[in-house]
Amino acid sequence: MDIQLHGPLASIAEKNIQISLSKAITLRQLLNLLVVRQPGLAPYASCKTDIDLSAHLMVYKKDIPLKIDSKVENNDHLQFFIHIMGG
Amino acid sequence: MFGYHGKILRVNLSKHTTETRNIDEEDFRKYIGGVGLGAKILYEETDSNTDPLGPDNPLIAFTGPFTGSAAPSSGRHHIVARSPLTGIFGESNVGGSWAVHFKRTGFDGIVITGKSDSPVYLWIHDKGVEIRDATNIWGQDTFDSSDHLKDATHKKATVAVIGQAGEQLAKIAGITHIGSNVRAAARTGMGAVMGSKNLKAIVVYGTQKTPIANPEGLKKSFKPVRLHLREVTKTFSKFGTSGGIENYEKLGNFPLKNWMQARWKSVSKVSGFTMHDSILTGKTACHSCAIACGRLIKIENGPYAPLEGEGPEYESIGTLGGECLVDNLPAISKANELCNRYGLDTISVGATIAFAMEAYERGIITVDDTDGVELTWGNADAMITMVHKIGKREGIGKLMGEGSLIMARTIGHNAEEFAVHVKGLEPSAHDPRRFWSQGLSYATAARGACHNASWGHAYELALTMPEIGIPEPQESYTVSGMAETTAKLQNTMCMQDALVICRFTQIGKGVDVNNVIDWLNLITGWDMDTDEFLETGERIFNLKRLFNTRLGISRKDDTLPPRFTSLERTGEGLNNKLPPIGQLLSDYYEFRNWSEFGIPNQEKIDSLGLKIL
Repeated sequence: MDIQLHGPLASIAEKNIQISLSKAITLRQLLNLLVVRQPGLAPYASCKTDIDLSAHLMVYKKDIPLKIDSKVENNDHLQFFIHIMGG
Repeated sequence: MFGYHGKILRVNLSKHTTETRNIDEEDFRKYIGGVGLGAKILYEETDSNTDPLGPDNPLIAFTGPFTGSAAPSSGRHHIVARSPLTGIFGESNVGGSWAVHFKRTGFDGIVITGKSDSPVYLWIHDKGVEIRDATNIWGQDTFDSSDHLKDATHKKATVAVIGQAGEQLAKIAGITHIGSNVRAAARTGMGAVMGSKNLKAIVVYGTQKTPIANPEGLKKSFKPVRLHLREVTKTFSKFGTSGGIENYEKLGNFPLKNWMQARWKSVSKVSGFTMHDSILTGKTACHSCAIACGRLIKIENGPYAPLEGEGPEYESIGTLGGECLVDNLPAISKANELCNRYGLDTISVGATIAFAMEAYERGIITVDDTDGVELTWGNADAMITMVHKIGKREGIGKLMGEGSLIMARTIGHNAEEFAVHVKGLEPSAHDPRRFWSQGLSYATAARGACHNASWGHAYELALTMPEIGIPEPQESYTVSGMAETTAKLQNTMCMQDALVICRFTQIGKGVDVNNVIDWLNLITGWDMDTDEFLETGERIFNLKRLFNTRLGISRKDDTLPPRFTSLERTGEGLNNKLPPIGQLLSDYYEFRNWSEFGIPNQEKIDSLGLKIL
């Protein structure tokens, strides 16, 4: 899996992260993996629900925002943006 | 009575008189405060002949039961009058410290009518109300005026003040509020209403507390919610409202080139992240706020230096930056500061400049009209020059100060086709081609294109509100459920504007409706349940609609501009669809029990207890 980080996330961790998955997992599980690997992402990626996620991050697969229970697979390319709902 | 003083201050500037009037608890329960009571008074005291810039148009500012209670993010008030920009219901919600200081003077609201023979300001404090001469500050900008007024009254006072734009009746003039921070009641031309009364400022400072029915219970209830709110808004607080820009551009929500363009390589240059890493020096918060979304900036070098103070918000960057394709953050910051000083609405100003840039590109206006300014896309200096011209009402700025619709009608050549507005109000920086709920709410909101009327974008992305019948996020680009969700949100937002509490408490469900009802009951001693809460919001929304209905507003006006209904943008990864506004409107009217023409049915009016009006 190829993960591309945008904005300040790219300066907290590597801009491009490669993760190998043996099976499909949920976005929630992927975020947990990422936090272990890149602890600097914890303030943004420690999300348990879609509402948690909406306060910090938006994750795209093929330009479609994912939900916390969306499945992601090894061959996916994901984009991570900091999401701020206000304005 | 708990939660209120039960009193409003009335000021007649023609007669230079003031009086105190009582309000019954029954009216507070029915209309709450803020926009609710403001709308009721405006409805009762105006008719279809009331000139928005005439002495009979009341300028009304109302606090709510949450004001001064320490409820999170409740340091706000709501201002209403008939709008000189749109000719219909005018309203603007603003944070800061004015509301709390005003309520501490012993009043819940103020109603100002008449017109003074000469410039005056109001000084409202614990011991009374004074109408003072403002001749010496008339013509000064809001910052200089505020300094003078604080020196003349109380150093801790908060000042609601107009600049040169409001004095000269620019219809996109707002009211700048200067206290612990700077905030603007920007929308719908409330600054021009104030200017039409020769009222320069309302200065407030008080120390009187409002009785609370259950102060211990309230304190106990606030504590965990405040902690939760602070936690879920930590990213928002770190980067501010403009931290959303890059993702909103990705989503196709960010306005570019007068809403023509969807992708912008320069977007990161104007984002909250760049602000954070370059010019940010700190944060500001409105009274009692746990979030602190306000930005403090400092620019020491370059053509826009020196500049120190409040930084631009998301909407201001969207309009002054994105819509004009200006990718220079210091320039946008300068334009933002000028708008605060002149007392101008950054949204309408940016949108009108973008409209003028397109008119210039099309050759409808030329350098002969712009006093030699090359009004080209991305021209930061030209954008700033236009802000000066609008603020001073110089040259083409006089026309631009009327807003984009009047400008379009004046310059002709079918320019109305690309004037982006609803009912005369330019939209905030959220695109209805990405969020249909925002499109429907732009079309039906009382003041015109207002994203705050529903906040639907957040409920298409992730938020839910099962307490009001929105158990799941509304699916984007789907007609099913869109009208119902939008209407329910509009009713709930009316309650936020009546109580008065900030939209941003919804982020991450920091505060939910159950919290809000709990606090309202602990403050007032009432026993309001969810049904009554929702019915009250619906009553307020319908009351605003009835105000507009009396002025002839109907389905024919509940439209979106051609750009939103016929211009399908393209761009890499863009996933936008034109909103089917006709179908959405029919569903919406049916859900609201309005006629197919958009008029509330008598049965609905009666059931909401609005028959008396």
